[in-house]
Amino acid sequence: MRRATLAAAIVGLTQWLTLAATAAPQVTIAYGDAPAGDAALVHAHDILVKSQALEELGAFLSPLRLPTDLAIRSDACGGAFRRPYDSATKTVTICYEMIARILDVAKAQTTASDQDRNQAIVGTIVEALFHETAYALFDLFDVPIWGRVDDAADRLTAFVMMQFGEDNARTAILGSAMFFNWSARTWTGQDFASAEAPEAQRFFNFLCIAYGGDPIAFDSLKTNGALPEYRSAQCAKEYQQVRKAFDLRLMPFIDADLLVKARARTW
Amino acid sequence: MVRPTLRVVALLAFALSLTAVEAAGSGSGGNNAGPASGGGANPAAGGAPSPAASGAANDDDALTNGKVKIAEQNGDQGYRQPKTAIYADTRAKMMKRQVLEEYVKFLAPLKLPKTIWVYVDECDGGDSASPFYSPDNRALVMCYQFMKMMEDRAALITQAEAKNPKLFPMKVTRDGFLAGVFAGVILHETGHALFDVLDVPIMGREEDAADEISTFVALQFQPKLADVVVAAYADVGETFDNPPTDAPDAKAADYPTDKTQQCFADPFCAFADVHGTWGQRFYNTLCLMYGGNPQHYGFLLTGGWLPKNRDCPAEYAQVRHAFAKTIYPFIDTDLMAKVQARAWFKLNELK
Repeated sequence: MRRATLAAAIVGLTQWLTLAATAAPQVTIAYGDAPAGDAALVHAHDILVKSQALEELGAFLSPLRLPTDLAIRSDACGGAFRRPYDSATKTVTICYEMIARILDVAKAQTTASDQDRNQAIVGTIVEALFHETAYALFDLFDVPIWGRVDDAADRLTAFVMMQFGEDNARTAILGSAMFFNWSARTWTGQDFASAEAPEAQRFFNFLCIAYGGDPIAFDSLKTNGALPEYRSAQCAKEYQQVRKAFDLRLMPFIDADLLVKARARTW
Repeated sequence: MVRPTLRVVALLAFALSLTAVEAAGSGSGGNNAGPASGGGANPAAGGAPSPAASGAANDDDALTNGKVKIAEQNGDQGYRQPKTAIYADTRAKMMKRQVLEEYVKFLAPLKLPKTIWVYVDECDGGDSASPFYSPDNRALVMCYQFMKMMEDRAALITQAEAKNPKLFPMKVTRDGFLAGVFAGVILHETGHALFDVLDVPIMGREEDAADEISTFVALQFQPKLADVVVAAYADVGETFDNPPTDAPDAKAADYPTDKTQQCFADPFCAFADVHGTWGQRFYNTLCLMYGGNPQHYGFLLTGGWLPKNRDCPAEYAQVRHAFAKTIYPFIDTDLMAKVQARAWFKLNELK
């Protein structure tokens, strides 16, 4: 009896040591400093820290079985809105400039309600976090990408936004769409050489995933004319297409039980 | 390939709209009239083509595909009788060129799990109806109207090019343009068909993906052949309008009554299209060309056709990766080598 207990203890200890030696890769987060002289960027930094945006994103990504550590940090990007995902260091960067821009665009909408402005700010910050993280997932899980990668990041973002209940989906998707609408500029000539999509295109891409994924909750997108008929007719197919790509190429790297818990959590 | 209705513009109008691109160019020989200046195409994986002399007799015995069928009806060999008389000539030309028969041969290396059908028809949708793939009956349909429209376009393009050789990135001839457009468009629709029957995961927008497959496949051939397809495909992208920049006059006599057409006339709503704008499609094509063969298509960068900050080698690598992972396993490499070595275009089309 005693011997059996000892043997069990040894087995347990060995298992623990093995686990400790091969600790699962993790998401690490860090808030970089904002330049002290730049009030807008400092404000952007403070908003992210106060809302624990990166901690939330880290928790959100917990069902992923990562092959390697993934670093997510916010940083000042020297004036650029985006800093591309770095596949060498596996680092996603959220630029304070992007957060500041989201705040600026919302602030400029003087005729919008406070509620709309807040929704646009919250939704678009979530969008920015997911969008940049999508690049990391494509890299870490070697996902084949047909179509332009920035659109792929948008479609995955919108699809994920749809998995956490209609209220979260409304805030995130309608908030992002509002931002795209407010920030839309005129595109001509060589503007179209950009690897990024025009704001208006992103507006419809997001709304289409929402309507296609839940035509009941997002019925108004069709009835109020936000989505033209010829596009809304295709949205179920678009949503199913992203869902299939997700199921085939990302779901195998996700712990299904942890995913259920993540979906049940209040975000 | 195209939106429900193409808004065809007069060539002069789009020539004017090109001044922006022209201004962006450094002026150093953007036009590439000559043959390959070096560097072969990059095969998707292995099996480099052994270049065959263009116009040489083709050994076609092995080039068949039991899963790609020409949908015949009443002995029409897949070329439906058009309802409108003006398309009789287009039909005769396509039959003579054996476009469907050639297409089946071209797809010989594909190991398809399900049969797809192909035919040419006078499609619904009037004189601007464009080719499509229908997953409902797994049919790829080329439309007489589209080829007729491209014939008209070829005349406009070659005339404009004669006046200003720098209007387009690559010089095309009428026959080369028509052959290239047909190949590029049927490859685009084949992309849709493959996405359907091979259950390919599409994370980005499907229409862009179909454009990618068209250009990528073309780039796996000798530059001389690839040029015919990509030059025409890029030119098509450049000869149609981008979304309007000004709000339409809803009281104007030509303001459309159809809701979809009204949307296309609106500077914001026009972006609801599942297709990229023509400008985006033009640059996407150029980007893959340069990314796939920077030596041969280096003039796209030095000539200012492409912005320097777009990472085209990475974009090409992305498409190549997606192709390798999702489509290449369905390809018979021995047959692919045969297809890559075959002379697909006639001599007059290669100019």
